[in-house]
Amino acid sequence: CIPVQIQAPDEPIEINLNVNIRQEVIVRLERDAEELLQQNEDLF
Amino acid sequence: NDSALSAARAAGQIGEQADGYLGFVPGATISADLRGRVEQNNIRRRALYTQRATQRSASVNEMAAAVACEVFQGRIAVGERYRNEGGQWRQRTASNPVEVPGFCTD
Amino acid sequence: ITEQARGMVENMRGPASLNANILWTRDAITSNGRVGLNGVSLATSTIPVVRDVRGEIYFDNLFELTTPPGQQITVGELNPGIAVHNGRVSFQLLPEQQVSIERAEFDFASGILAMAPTTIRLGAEETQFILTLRDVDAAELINTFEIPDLAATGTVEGNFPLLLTRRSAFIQNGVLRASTEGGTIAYTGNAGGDAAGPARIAFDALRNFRYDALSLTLDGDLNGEVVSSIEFSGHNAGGAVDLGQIAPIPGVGSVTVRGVPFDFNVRVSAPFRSLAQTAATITDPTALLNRAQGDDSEDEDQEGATERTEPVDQGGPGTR
Repeated sequence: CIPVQIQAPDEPIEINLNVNIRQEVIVRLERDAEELLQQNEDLF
Repeated sequence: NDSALSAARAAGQIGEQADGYLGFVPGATISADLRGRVEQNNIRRRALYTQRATQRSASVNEMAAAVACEVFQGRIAVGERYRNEGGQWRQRTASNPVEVPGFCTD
Repeated sequence: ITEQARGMVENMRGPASLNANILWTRDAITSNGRVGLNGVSLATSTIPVVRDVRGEIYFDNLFELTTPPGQQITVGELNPGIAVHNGRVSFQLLPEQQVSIERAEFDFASGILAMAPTTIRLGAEETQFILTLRDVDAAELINTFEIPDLAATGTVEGNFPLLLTRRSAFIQNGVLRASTEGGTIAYTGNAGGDAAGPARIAFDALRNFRYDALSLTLDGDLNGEVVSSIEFSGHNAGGAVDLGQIAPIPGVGSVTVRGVPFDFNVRVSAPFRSLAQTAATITDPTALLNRAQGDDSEDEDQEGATERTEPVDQGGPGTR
């Protein structure tokens, strides 16, 4: 097939994207959590 | 730890929450002094969570939740009340271990 | 800081000097004084991090802790959930811990974040501000939010209410718009790696996209989850977009298109800061492609779309 350059349409192509980001962050912060607890005994 | 707060925890007036902050147990009588101390404690906790979250590019609530996990997994004494992930107040007893939030990893 | 300040202003630290004079006469006590702040940091009930406050405050009444208008301070950093820096604030302290903020401007993403004049009460459960963003550089904004794999040019501005509470900093329907006559957006990540069909086109188009209109709405808690929806329209300026097998024009096959006008409505919901930690992964592409020409049936790429947009009939192609 021969690639054809079509004339750009006058009406925009509408693209709706839903981007959901779920990521396990809690694991990454475990060490920080332990550190905060040890350094701030007066608070916890 | 602040003795007035420790006494209030032991007396079941206040307790740890799954969001990383101290809360008032429903029905407990809370003096103005105790209210001020708890709010003072929570302001300082939020300052810690905010500073550390900014360094780690995590959200403040995530940092608070990560601390709540550590607290729920080791710093709630038998007899103390706490507020679980669903928002209900519970009491740790000999037979009822602490309900650790689902977002925690063991 | 007196007892009753507990639970209102905390973590007060840093060098401050006070020289006060109190005059007793038979019929009145007058007191005034100057407080010099040389890098004080503190936390308030609704703003957990306030750092490096400098300036001199003149109190016209030390017992009431009130001041005349026009007190000036600078603030190194303010962080209700996202950090803003280099603040210039002029204010007046009123009775009963009320603070009239006459003017407050901070640096944010190479632009200015300004607070409309307002009166707040220290220790209040909630504080509401109306914030205005001016000439914020799009590239710097992306930098501030540490969003990976995204580059943009142009400047944005807008305003939004910010509701601060003891636990949150809520943006309510914040709208930012491109103030320049347009700019470019380039998403070079592989979030759309396995996207097929129309979503594939979207990502190809996004490699180098020239927008003429862009608006960004923000809703949610700066401490937790912010839902942002980004709408921009314009056309792809870069390489040809391969419509691929989506738009087989009978007997022709793959069609490459350049300069195709697109309306992009991208809705991103993610915990505010950790948006930066992961490349955007598309879990729910709803691409509505209105055939540029030829083939008349719409092609809706389902994949469990949550938000249903009205299918555009052949007659009224994707106008908004």
